[in-house]
Amino acid sequence: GDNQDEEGEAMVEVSHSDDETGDGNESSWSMDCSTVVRVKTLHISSPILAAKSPFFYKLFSNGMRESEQRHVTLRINASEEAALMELLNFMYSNALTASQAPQLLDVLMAADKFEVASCMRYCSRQL
Amino acid sequence: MSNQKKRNFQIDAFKHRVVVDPKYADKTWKILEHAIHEIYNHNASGLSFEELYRNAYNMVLHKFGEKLYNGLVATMTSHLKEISKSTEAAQGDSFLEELNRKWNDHNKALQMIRDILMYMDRTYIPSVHKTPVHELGLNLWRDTIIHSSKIQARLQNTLLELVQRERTGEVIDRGLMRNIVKMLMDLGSSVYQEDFEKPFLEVSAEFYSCESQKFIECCDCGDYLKKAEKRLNEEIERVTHYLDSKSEVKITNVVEKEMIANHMLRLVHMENSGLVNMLLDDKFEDMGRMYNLFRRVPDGLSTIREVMTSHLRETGKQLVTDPERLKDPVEFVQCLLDEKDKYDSIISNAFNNDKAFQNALNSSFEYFINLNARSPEFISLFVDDKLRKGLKGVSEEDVEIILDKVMMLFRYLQEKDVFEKYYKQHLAKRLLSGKTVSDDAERSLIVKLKTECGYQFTSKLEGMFTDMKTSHDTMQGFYASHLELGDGPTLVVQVLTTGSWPTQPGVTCNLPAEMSVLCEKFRSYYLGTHTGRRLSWQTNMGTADIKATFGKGQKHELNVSTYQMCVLMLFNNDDRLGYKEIEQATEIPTADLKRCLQSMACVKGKNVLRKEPMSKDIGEEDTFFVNDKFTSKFYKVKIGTVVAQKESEPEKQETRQRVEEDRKPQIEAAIVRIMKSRRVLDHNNIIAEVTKQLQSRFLANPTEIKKRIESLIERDFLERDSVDRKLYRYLA
Repeated sequence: GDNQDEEGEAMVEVSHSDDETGDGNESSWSMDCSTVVRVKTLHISSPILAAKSPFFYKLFSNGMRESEQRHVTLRINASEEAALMELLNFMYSNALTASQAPQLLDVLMAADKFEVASCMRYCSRQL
Repeated sequence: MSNQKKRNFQIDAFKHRVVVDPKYADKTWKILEHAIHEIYNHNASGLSFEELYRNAYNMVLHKFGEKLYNGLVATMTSHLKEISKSTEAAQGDSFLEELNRKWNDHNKALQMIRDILMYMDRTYIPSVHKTPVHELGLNLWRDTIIHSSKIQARLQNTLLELVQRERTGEVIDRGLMRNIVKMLMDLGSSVYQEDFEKPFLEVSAEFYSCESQKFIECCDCGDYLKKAEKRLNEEIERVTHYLDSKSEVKITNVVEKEMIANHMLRLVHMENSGLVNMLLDDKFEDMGRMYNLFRRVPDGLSTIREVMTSHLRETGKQLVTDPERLKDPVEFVQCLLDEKDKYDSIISNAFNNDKAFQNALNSSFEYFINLNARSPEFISLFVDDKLRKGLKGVSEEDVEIILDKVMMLFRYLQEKDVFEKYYKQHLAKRLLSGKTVSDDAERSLIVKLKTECGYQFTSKLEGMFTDMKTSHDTMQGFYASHLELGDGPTLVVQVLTTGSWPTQPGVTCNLPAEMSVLCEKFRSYYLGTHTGRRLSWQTNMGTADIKATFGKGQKHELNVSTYQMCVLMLFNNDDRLGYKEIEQATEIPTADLKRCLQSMACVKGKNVLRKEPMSKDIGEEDTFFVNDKFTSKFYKVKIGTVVAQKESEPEKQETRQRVEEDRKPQIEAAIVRIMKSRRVLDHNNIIAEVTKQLQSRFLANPTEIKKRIESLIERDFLERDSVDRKLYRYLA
């Protein structure tokens, strides 16, 4: 991008819980005891993300650690990865590739988590 | 289609995530609790927003919202308790500064806490109807700090004391005041009102009650008003600097009530400096201040207006009934105009051109002008004076201004018909003596009268102008056909149409032989060209220019009245003449003759005659002879008649009688008009309606109306009801 300040890099760390099987989900939201399985680095435009999501707006500006960083890390569960990618995509293009209900539901979850209202409405309409 | 899809998908995927080990919830909360501590300790920049948000999100997602919320309340409360302790410990002036600093810290912390708990704020809190994080933070601040027993009263006293210090002239930290007041407002309008505004208003009322008491004992009215205005402005300024703008009305109400409303009557009536003195001395600034302050309180302006009105009526009454003033009608009217100018200027400069004040001014003038029955005559005399001599060298616009002012006085008159009567007389005199200065001004006034009185009145006045023009042409024709008259005396006749002029029938005198010959020639010339007319001489209205040679050969041209000419011509044949002889020879009416002799024998500088015995008055035994020693530095000498410019008592009575006579047909016409449309009407209602119809012309006398009704009954226009004698019926 031509504007340095507006461009940033986001690192998405995808982690798996220790116990992948069965109903071991009780630990799935506690990252401290999970392992990072994959790190993905993306170039994102912080103004676009901030405009679409209060989460990203605060992330880039509220004075905590990330406000000063050019590399910002989001930790997500492996199961959320595809949906997050779709969500990021939506924030740029206002469109989703997913059309099936389970995927749409995952995207809706992600949109709700990061408060991307436009995407939440979009998914609700599609469902 | 979408309905079908929806049905297929339940949110099963989440179900198995509902039950989660509380150990993990505890652990996650510990992370967040630690973060809140760090935030209060100014270490927020070391915390990961992403991590904290994710943790809070997970807690809510996994149904630990309540644990999160309660944890927040407990943690924040404990921090605020710490803050409360340190604020309480602050000494003296540093108390407010400390409170302000901690408030800023709390606000910043609250903002960040809200950021990391954004998900809870958005989803959990509305679903369980709890207080949102920001509001919660404010409420906890209010309850833990502002309303803590050790702070609440201290804060209030500190604020009120600062205001008090500022009122006594000290400079205080307004920025700090503004921040603290803003804090109270942020905590809710009821906090601002209860913890500050209410006691502030109470203390202020007490302060201004005392202060105004002090001021009113030692200040004059003008100074008091200055002080009150200053205080009012200070309070308004205080509000803009550091109070809620809604407080402005409330605090100004306090000042208005304590400083103005409570002392209003004492102020306007203050001895030697109250409103009457301001009016007398044209204190525009003080009166303007009084107006602007009093308008803020109930009945304020009506109080000013009443004092002004009663003063104006009183002074006006004195003016129009002062016998000294009545001696000079021109000055009398000038005084009225000056008074009007004075009050116009007061109302426009000090009373904001207030319509109600203008109305009060008008009704006051109407009241006192009509207290003097001679006002109509005097106003006409004033116009007469202006049109005779007063307007020479005055620009056209200034003439208009003077005439407009006269018309304004005219409008106040109740007896407009009396004015008209006099106006006609005075105009006739001006025209016949050739004394009118400006034809334009005369006509301009007639146009103004036309709009006020209607065409009927002015058409006669216009007829007078036409007669003047026609007479000029007639005289040219007369002399063109009598070329042999070139050497003798010159006669100028003005032929006046009966009805247009205020002529008096049958007043005539014996003209000198030279003149009566000429008059006869004119009569035959005029009647020869105008058949079917009658001429009668109005010798009381004419003037003459005569050449006189006195004892030592001094020659003068004398400008005299026709009567005076008749008298003087007698001395061509006799050296000495007694009063009786003159009266017999001229047949001039006694009053006119006395006046005319007086003007020629008793006025210094105009005394072409002498009399024995020498005295100021004319006696019937007096003897008259030519004053051989008469001198004047002018060749032309104008000998005025000693006319009391205003009418004498009998003349006044006569005019009055003619006015009453003229009113009769007008009253009858009004009665007939009313009865024609109403058919049946009782006595009182007729009187009321007739009075109303005629009031733009004059105030009809009820007794006269009754007489007119009786006369109409006699002439079969009306009849009395056979049962109710108070009822009249119109007979078609």
